[in-house]
Amino acid sequence: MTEFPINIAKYINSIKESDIVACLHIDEYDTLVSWEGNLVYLGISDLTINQSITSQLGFLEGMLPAIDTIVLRFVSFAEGYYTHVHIVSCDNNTYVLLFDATFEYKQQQKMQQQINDLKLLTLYKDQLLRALEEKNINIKQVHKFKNQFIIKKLQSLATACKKKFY
Amino acid sequence: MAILQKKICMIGDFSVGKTSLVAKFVRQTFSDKYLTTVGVKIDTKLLKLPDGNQVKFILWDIAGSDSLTTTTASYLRGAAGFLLVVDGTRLPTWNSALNLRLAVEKQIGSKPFIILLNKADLQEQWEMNEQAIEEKTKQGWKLLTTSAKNGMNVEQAFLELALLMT
Ligand SMILES: Nc1nc2c(ncn2[C@@H]2O[C@H](COP(=O)(O)OP(=O)(O)OP(=O)(O)O)[C@@H](O)[C@H]2O)c(=O)[nH]1
Ligand SMILES: [Mg+2]
Repeated sequence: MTEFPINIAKYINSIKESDIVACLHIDEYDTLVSWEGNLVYLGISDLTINQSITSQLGFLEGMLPAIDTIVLRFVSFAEGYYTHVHIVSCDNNTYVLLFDATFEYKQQQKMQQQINDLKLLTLYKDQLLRALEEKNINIKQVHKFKNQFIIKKLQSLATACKKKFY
Repeated sequence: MAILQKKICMIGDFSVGKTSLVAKFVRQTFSDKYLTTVGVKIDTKLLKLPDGNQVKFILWDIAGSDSLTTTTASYLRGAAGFLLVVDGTRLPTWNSALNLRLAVEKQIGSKPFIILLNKADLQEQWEMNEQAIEEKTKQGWKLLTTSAKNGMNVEQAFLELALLMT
């Protein structure tokens, strides 16, 4: 790719993303026209031009042609690589812009992990409390039956004694 | 002849086992450690159908949530079907799945899906409501009880979804 069309260059300048890592130019027939950048850094192996892009990059299946701009945040193609993907249409062609998101990902992941772990802990605590409450109700019920049984036994014993002595 | 590609999305609340199901299906691995997904992780797997044909699944393992955000909605474009995952030991994740299904349908239209009641190996903590499940089955929904831990119905789930899509 020699240079970006002016609209794509404008688009890249207008968005607040970190450094662009790679750019793919795809024609209206989903064929890869050209590409530039460091794809290995994103965990993507080499691409062949003049061939269908969806058969090379499966994640674009169903995404093309892009009518509006599509932004996919934190996409991971390989363990440890994270990318923001912008799919932009320009003059019947599609440009797929890949931005490195690894640093941002690590921060976000850490935060989300803490939130989810806390939610799970709260849930387990509630489940345990519910189980404890059920056990307490059972114990109370057992006590009630036990007391009723003792009272009944005492009553029948008293009746039997009365019959015997009077 | 080029192999047919299908984009499949893994959808469900956080920590229900989406990433674990994909790991079991694609790599035959399982880990007890919970590492929450941020964004989306893309995997591929070639699946052989009973008729001898092959289909390449492009799996989009989407970050868990109880509702569809603008970020997650953008991942759905072009999906041919989806697996709706529920944690059988947490009842609220069932309701999340029902809400998510409606939101997904609004976003991409009606697509084949299967509900997976995951973590079936934890039967003593099972919280699913049999009546609600029966109701959905009667409505024609496909539900499967799965375990990413012991592999129960994992391969089956993907295969059945493939069959629903062909
Ligand atoms: N016992 C058991 N544990 C499971 C099973 N599936 C997943 N887990 C555990 O549940 C936790 C969450 O699993 P993940 O696969 O990360 O869940 P997720 O839906 O991808 O979560 P998010 O990415 O946060 O949305 C992990 O600790 C897994 O080991 C299962 O079938 N049985
Ligand atoms: Mg996950």
